[in-house]
Amino acid sequence: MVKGKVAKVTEGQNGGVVVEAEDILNGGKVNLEVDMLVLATGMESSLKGVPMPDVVQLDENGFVAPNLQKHGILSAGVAKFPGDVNSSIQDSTGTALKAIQTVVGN
Amino acid sequence: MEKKIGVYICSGCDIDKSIDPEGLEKVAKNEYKVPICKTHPFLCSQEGLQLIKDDQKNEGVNCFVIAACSKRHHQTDFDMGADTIVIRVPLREQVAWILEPRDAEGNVNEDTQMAGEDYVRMYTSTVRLTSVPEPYIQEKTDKSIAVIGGGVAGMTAAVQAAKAGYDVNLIEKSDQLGGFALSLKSIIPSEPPFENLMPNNISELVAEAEGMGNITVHKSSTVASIAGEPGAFQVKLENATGSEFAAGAVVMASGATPYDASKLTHLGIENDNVISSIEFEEMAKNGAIVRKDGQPAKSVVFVQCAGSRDENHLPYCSNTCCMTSLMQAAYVRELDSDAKAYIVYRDMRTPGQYEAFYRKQQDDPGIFLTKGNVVGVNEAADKTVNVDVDESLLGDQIQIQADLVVLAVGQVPSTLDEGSILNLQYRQGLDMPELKHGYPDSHFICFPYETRRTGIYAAGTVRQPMDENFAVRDATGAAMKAIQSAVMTEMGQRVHPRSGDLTFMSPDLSRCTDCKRCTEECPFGAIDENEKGTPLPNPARCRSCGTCMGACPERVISFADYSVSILSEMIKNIEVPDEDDEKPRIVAFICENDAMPALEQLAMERKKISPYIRFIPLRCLGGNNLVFVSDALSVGIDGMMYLGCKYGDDYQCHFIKGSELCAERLGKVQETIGRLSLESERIQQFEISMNDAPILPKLIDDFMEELEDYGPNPFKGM
Repeated sequence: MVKGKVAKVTEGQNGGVVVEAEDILNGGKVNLEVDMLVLATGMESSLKGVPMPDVVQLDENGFVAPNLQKHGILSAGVAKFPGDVNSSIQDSTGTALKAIQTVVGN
Repeated sequence: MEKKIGVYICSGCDIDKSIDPEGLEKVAKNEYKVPICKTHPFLCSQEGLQLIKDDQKNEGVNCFVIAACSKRHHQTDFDMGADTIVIRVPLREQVAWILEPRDAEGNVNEDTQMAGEDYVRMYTSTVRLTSVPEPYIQEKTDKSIAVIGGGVAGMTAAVQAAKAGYDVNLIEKSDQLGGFALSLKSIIPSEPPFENLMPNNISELVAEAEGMGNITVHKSSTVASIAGEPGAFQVKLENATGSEFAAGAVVMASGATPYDASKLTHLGIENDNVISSIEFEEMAKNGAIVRKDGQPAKSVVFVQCAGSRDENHLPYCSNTCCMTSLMQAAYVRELDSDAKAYIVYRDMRTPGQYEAFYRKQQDDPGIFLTKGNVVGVNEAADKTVNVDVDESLLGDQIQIQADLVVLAVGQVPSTLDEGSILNLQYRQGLDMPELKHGYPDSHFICFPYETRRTGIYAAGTVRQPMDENFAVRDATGAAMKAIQSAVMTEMGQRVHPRSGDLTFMSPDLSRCTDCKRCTEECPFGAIDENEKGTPLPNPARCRSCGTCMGACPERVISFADYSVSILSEMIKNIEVPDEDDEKPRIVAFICENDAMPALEQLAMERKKISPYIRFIPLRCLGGNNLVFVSDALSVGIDGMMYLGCKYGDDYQCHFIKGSELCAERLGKVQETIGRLSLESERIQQFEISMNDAPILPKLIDDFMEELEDYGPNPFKGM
């Protein structure tokens, strides 16, 4: 493992990829020639930039603000925060209970 | 009930491009004397369903064999109502789509047609052995929730369940509610812009829990015993009054304790000005950050992963210490703008929206963050502390001089405290089985709340290391699971993963030999036993996986629609061609949870596999009874495959132990097979996960090739 920022990615001579990166801990640069380069990209809220009713507030990245939900509108999982399968299941299970609460006694 | 069978064959979805339905009708009518047998080109259409319903109404059909798509599709469409048996023959997935279709002239492939006819035989034969499930309805189902632990998680579970209209008994061992959160000065931000610490609002949650009419708070109380089953737990407390009450489900939110910092001698904890993050929080809460001699601490070093991710202490990451130290660094700056904070970390972990708070602290010129390994913490004569750091971003070896050093310690689940938390009066022991490090056994990725004790759900820091924000979210979900368990129990239904199933294990005790295998092997501890060892089933604790059925040497355990005799009947109804025909027959027991969907994925892609295999679904490979092996070999089956989940430390079995137990049992039988001069390799188990569709065809081909070397089963035709 190398800690450092990738400075440059170029095509290698044998059809591979050359990755040039800083190696902070060893105080230098590394040049790695690899067959494949995988970019580990994050997730973006699907609501980013989408017009929402006034009661639904989004944070600056487009995720639904957790404590600002009113009027029986709830959000769950990666609409609320970037997360994995586990945290989505965990969150949506609790959100289902919140939804039930809104109709109990009605 | 007097059974009247109707067999309904669907020729839609390209089924008739591979199969001649007329041949299948002949099998049903001639071999099984089925009174009604019809083919429809679109059985799940309104018109197709009407055809079935008309027969139900006019002809009195009450057992429906639907030879169409697999039971994973159109579940409700083919629900024929009360007092009916519906058996689904997966013609589409296991024959039409996955075997050779008709040739260019429109002639059916002989092997494909044989497979289709076999599946009609296999499933039609089970009707007479299948009964309509009679749900297990308790005399009185209690739907109140018992919550153990009055910290953030426990109080949240209690309040959220109460808000949904359920009664709650909240049990706290100390004399006040609040738990660990009482010691906190602030809370990590959980609201946009996620940059500013929030005031500790624990007192509001305490007031809410104490003020709700349907929450009964039991302070200075621990659980003396829990007996019974979901919907009818009997809880006894150890407290001044010896309280007793019933509960429908239990949330275990007994929390965690900070790792014992006194063990961190390699980080200089014995020195006056080296303290744990817990002590630091208290100090900050009291308003001043000082050295032991009372002088203000002008420079504070936070050491991350202190005893965490360390084989000598806690091997895991506690998820919370990075944010805690960032928060505490903010205290240093907030309480004294001249003071400086240093955080030495191995990896900074601030997932999701926590990144915003991290970024804000990075921007503070008085907070210094560096990656590095702390290799020495030594106090000088003037009581300042020198922290030696290797491989830091600021240089190979640096030394930071500080007034105070804070060791960021991790969490230890309360299950590792002395004494039992649940005190379950179960045959399999007082507590939930653990997975690792004291955390309860669970399917962490797919089913985070599941435990191996039905109706009992862990939440908060006893389930997984987490902070207050996560505990709130976690406990809300656990409350939902607890309510769900009680409500489903009232309806006589099983909970996850066979949610809604009305069947449950029922032993014929007149033939039981008290061997205790079922009571020992049930992955959920559902079966207790009396002094003689006779099983005492608790149906509401049953998850209906059938592991007990597979374990029973006397084969006396069955379910209304799933039994050893049903599965044996399927094997015996496979038509086994003569040796000269050179058409081997393989029985493949396939796990319904992961291997079956993988096979169906293959079918959807219209990939082809060997036509010599007959698949028999199992709720879990744990349901494999060794009698199936002798049944199969004695009718001339050449080989058997068991396709189930990965087992071992990183198991994927939905019933935790099923596939492992299957492998164990097969290991025992293979010796016997050897004594019959049969090759034990004729029977093999394979680990298949949900996304293994691409490897299935080759796996099957390789197995078939291996079988070819052994030649046909010598018992064929005997």
